[in-house]
Amino acid sequence: MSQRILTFLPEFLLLVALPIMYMVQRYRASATPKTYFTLSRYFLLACLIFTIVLYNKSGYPEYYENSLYTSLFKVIIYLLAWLWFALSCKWFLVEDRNSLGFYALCLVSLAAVSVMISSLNLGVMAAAWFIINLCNYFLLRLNPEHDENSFVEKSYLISIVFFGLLFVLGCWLIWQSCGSLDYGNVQLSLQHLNHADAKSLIGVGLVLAVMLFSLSLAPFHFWYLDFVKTAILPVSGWVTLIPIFAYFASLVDLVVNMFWSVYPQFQVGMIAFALLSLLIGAAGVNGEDNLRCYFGFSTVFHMGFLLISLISFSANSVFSSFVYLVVYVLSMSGVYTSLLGIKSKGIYLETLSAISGLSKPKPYIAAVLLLFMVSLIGSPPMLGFLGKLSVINNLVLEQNYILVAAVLASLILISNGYLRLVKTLYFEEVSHPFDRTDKGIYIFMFANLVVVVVSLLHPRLLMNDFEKMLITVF
Amino acid sequence: MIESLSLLSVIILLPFLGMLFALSSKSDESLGNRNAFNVAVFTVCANLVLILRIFYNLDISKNGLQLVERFNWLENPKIDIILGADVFSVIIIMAVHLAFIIGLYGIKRQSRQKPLVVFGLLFLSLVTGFFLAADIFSFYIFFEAMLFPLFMLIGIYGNIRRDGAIYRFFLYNFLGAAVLFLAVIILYNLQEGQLEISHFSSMKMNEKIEYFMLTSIFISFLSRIPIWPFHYWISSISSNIRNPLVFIITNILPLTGIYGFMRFLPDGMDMLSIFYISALEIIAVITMVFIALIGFTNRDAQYKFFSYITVYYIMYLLALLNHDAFTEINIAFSCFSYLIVIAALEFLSDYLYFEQEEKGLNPDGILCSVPRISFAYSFFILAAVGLPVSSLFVNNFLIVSNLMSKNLNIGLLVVVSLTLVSGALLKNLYRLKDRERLNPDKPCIIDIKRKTYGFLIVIMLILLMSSFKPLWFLEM
Repeated sequence: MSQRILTFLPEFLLLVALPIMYMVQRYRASATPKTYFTLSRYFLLACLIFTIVLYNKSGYPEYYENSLYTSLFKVIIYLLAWLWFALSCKWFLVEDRNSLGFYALCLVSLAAVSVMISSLNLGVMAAAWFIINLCNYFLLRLNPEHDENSFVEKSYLISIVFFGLLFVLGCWLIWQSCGSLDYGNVQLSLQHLNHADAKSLIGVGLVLAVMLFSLSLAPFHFWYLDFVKTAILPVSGWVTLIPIFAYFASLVDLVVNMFWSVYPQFQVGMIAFALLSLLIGAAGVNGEDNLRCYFGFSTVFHMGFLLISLISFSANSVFSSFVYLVVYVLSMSGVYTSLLGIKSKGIYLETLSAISGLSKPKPYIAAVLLLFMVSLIGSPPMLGFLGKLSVINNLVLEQNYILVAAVLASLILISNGYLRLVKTLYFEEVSHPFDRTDKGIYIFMFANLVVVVVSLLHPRLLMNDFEKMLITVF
Repeated sequence: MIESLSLLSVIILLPFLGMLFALSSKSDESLGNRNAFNVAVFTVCANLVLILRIFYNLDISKNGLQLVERFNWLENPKIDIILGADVFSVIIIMAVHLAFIIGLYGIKRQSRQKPLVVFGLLFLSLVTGFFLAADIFSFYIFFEAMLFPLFMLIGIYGNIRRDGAIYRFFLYNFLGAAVLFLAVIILYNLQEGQLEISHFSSMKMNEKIEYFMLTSIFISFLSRIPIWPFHYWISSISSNIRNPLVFIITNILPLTGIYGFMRFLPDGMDMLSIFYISALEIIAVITMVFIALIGFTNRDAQYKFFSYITVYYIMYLLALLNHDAFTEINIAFSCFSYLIVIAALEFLSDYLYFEQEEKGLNPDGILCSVPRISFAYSFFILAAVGLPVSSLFVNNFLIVSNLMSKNLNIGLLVVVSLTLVSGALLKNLYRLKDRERLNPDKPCIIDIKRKTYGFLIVIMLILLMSSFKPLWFLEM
C-alpha cells in the first residue's frame, strides 16, 4: 500500500507546497513575490527529482501509469515551469503584486497536468482536465483591473463548463457502450464493436473535440485569444507554454491506446480542423496589432501544424510532431521572455505599433525576437527548420501531397505576418522611450538561445533519445 | 598538417565567428564606430588566405567535387551535411570575397555600420556554404538561409519604396525556397537516403516525378534571377540602393540561381527537358533584350548599371543551359572579373553620388577635376565592356562564340544586348567626363584618398592578371 502511495509522491509534493505558502502568507510579515517563487522552486525541484526516480513505477496501474513516455513529458513540463516561475517572479517584483495566488494555482495545475499525462482511465483524465481548466479560470481572475474582464471570465467559465459536460457526456457514452473507462478495456471493446455503434462513436468524437478545444485549435480557439489578451503576462505565458504538452501527450495516448480502431472515421474531421487552424492562425497574424493576440493566433497556427503532422498517429508522425512542439515551445518561451523585457514608463508594451524601432534602443531583445520569428517560420538555419523538416518529411512519407501543399502555402502566408513584426522592429522609427531591461531577462534569453543553438548544431541530442522514449507509448 | 584541417567548413565558420565578434563589439565613438568594420575586414582577409590555400589543395585538372567533408547531422531523417569544392565554386567564392571587401571599403564613411557588418558577414558565411554544398539538403539549407540576412539588409539600408519591393522580394524568394524544399524532401525519400548534388543530373525518375522536379527547379532558381516574371523586385531594389555593400550582396543573389541551374540541370535531354529549356531560353532572351534597351535609353546611371548586371547574368544562364564543362569554366573565369568589376563600379558610383548630393552638383563632367577616381572609373568601365583588361575579354568571347555555335539566333541577340549595355555604360562615362558640360562656377568634388586609390590599383592589377591567366596565383 505504502509503495503504491509512494508513486504519487511528485504530485503530493506539489500540493504540500500550498499549505506552507499559506502559512508563510499568514505568519511572515516580509513575504515578497520572491518568497513564493523560492518555495515553488524547491518543491518543483523535489517533484522533478522524484519524477525521474519513479519514472516507471505505477501504484494503481488501472488508473495511472508512469512510463518513459509520461516521464519525458513531465520532466520537460517541470523544467519549463521552473523557467517560467523565475521569469514571472520578475514581473511580480516590478508590478509589486502578491504572487501567492499565481504560484499556488500553477502548482495545483502542475499536479493535475501530471495526473492527466499518466492517467489510464478516462474518468481520471476528465477530472484532471477539469482541475487544470478551473485553475486557469482562477489564474485569469488574478487580473482585477481589466475592463472586459468580467465578460472574458464568464465566457471562459461557460466554455470550460460546456466542454467539461461534453467530456463527461463522452465518457458516459463510452462507458455505456464499452462498460468501462479504462484505456485497455475500451480499446478491446471498440475493436469488437460494430462500426455503426453510434454511441461509442459520438463518445469518442466528444472526447476528441474536448482535446482540440484544449489545444486551442480552430474553431475552438476563441477562448484562448481572449484569455491571453486579458490575463496578466505571467498567466498568458503559462497557458501558452505548459498545458499544451499535457494535452498533446494525452491526445496521443488516447488515440494510440484507446481509440485506435475507430480513429480513421475521425481523421478527415481532424484534418479539416487542422487546416482551418492554419488558415485562421495565419490570417490572424497578418491582421492583428495586439502583441498577445498576435502570438495567440500564431499558437493557433502552430497547433494546426502540429495536428497535421500528428494526423496518422504513426510512430514517425508522433515523433515529428513532438519535435515540432519542442521547437514551438522553445521559440514561444523566447518570445514571452522578450515581452517581459519591453516596457515604457513602467508599463509593459502590448501593441505592434508601440514597439516600433525597438532594434535601436534594445538591439539584443530585437535580435532575439527576430531569431525566434525566423525559427517560427521554419527557415534554416534556425531550430524551427528541424520541426518543419520533420513534419513535411513525414507527410511526404505518407504521400499526403495535398496537405504538404496546404502547409507550405500557409507557411508563406504566416511568414508574411511575422515579417510585419520584423519590419516594425527594424525598419521603423522609435515611437516610445523604453525602460531599462532587467539583466535576468537577458540571462534567460541567452540561455534559451544556447539551448536552441546546441539543439541545432547537435540535434541528435534532442532527437535520438527522445525518439526512444516516445515510442514506448505504442 | 594543413591538409587534415577541414578547410571548407572553416571558411564557412570564420565569417560566422566574425559576425559574432562584430555583434558583441562596442560602438566606440572615439574609434569612429569602426570596431565592427575592422572585424569584418580582418575576417574577410583571413578567409581569402584560406581560400588561396584551398586552391593549392585542389587538383585543377580533375572534374567533380574535391576536398569532401562529411558531418553526420540528423538521425531521423538521416541527413549528413556534405561539403565539397571544385574550381568553379572556389573561383566564385574568391570573387564574392573580393567584391565583399570592396563593398566594405565603400561603407567606411557611413554611420551605423554594425548591423550592416553583422548581417553582411552572416550572408557571406551562408553564401560560401551554398557554393560548397555537395548534397541536396545542405544546398537547400544555405539556399534559403541566405535570404534572412539579405532581407534585413535591404529593409534597413535599401532606401526603397519598402513595402512593395521588399514584400515581393520575400514572396518570390520564399516561394522559390518552399518549392525547392518540397523537391528536396521528395528526392530524399525517392532515393531512400542522402543524395549528392553531383548525382542529381544523371538520376533516373519516372515521368511525374521528373515533371515535378523540373518545375520546382525552374521556379526556385528563376525566382533569384531578374527574368520575367520575377524581375520586378530586383530591379526596384537595385535601382534604389545607395549602399555599395548592400548593392553588391543583392546582386550576388542572382548568381545563386544560376549556380543552382548549373548543378541541377539534367544531363540527358528528353522531351520534357527540351520543352522547359526552350521556354526558358525564349523568356530569358526577351527579358535580356528588353532590359538592355531600357538600360540604353534610361538616363538613370543606377538603372544602366542594373541592366548591365542583368544582361550578363542572363548570358551566363543561356550559356549554362548547354551544359558543357568548357563553358562552365569560362563562366567561372568571366564571373570572377565580372563580380569584382561591378563591386568596384558600385563603390565608385556611390562615392560620386554622395559627393554630388553633398555639393549640389549634376553629374555632367564631374570626373574632369578628379584624376584618380577618373582613371579608376574609366578602367573599370573599360573592363566591364569587355576590353582586354580583365578575364571578361577572352572568356566572354569564348562564351558567346560557344552560344553562337549552338544557336546562332540566340548568340546574335546576346551580342546585341551586350552591345547595348556596353554602349549605355560608355555613354554614361562620356557624360561624366564631358568637360564642355562642366559648370566652372560650381565647386569640384574631392578625389579619393591615396590609400583608397592604392587599394583600387591592387584590384586593377588582379583584374589585369586575370586577363592573361585566370589562375595566375597558383604559379607564384
